[in-house]
Amino acid sequence: MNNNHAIITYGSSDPFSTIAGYIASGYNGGAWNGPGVISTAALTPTNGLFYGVGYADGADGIVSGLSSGQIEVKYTLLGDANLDGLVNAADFTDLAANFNQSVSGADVSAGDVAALDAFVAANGLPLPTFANVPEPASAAAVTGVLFVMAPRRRRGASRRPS
Amino acid sequence: MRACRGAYRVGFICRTTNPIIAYNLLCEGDCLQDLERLRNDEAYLDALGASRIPDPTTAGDFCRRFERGGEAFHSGDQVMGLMDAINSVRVGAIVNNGGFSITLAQPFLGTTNDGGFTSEGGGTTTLVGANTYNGSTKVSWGTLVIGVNGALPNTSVAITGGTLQLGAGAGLAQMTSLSITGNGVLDV
Repeated sequence: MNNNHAIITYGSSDPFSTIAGYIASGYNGGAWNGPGVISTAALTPTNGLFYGVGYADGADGIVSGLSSGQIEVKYTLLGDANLDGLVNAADFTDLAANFNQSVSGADVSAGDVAALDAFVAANGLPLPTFANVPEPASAAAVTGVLFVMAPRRRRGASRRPS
Repeated sequence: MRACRGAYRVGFICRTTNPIIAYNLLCEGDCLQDLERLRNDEAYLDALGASRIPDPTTAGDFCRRFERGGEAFHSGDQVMGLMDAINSVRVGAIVNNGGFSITLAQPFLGTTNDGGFTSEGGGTTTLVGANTYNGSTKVSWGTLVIGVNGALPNTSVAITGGTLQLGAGAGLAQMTSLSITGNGVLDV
């Protein structure tokens, strides 16, 4: 099992959206075969666990040890919001604290809600109650970016094969 | 002109036997001693229009070998500027695996403006050395595998085609920038 991650220490211009674009294009709807950032290891579950590629900006203060001016890209478990290699209550706390928030021009999708439901159920956690949260249209809607962590923009997000 | 004609008349000597003799004839000498005498004869050399290039025994001599816009380089800054210009077009190390799978254990050690490392070829190149090059890591086609932690120095990474793969032992890969264009892929 790989335990790889990359840290990009950028200069004056924050390439966060560019890196996110690389991951989105590499993800290619779950095939992980597009140009950009991919993870061939994430194509198949390992020990029954699903992996993806997480990314975070140190400026958001979510990932411990990641400084402002750095972006981390990591092969990790889906749901690992803080990229520490674990999916636990700390990730859930970040997720819940920012749930139903959106970056400029983006909305929380039905897929996000379904993903949260699945995450809570899989971990035996109580389902939080949110106002004005739409119900998921279907399980098939669970694609793309799963978790929204930041009030200002998505961070620590993971992509997974559908 | 007479010197040239003389040299060509005995051209077979110039090409096949001894170029010093040919040079001596060019200087219209009759024996080897003439060569040393004539090459130090300023009046004779001036008449020929020959330029004397001093042996590079001093920095000044070295600088005078370079000119820009008709002006000789005299200062250290000018020489450094020239070196920067040369370094700016350095392409660094280019490894073409020729379609094979190869492993490079010897590290590419860095120097200032060393031009970095470029991987190409349809096969797989694996880096396992403690590389310290300073220029960009570039993948133009084929696959470049970072086999161990430290094999990818902290430089800019440009993938214009092919794949840069962080292998099982790569661990943390640090880079100053990441550019992926064309069909380039970074596989973590």
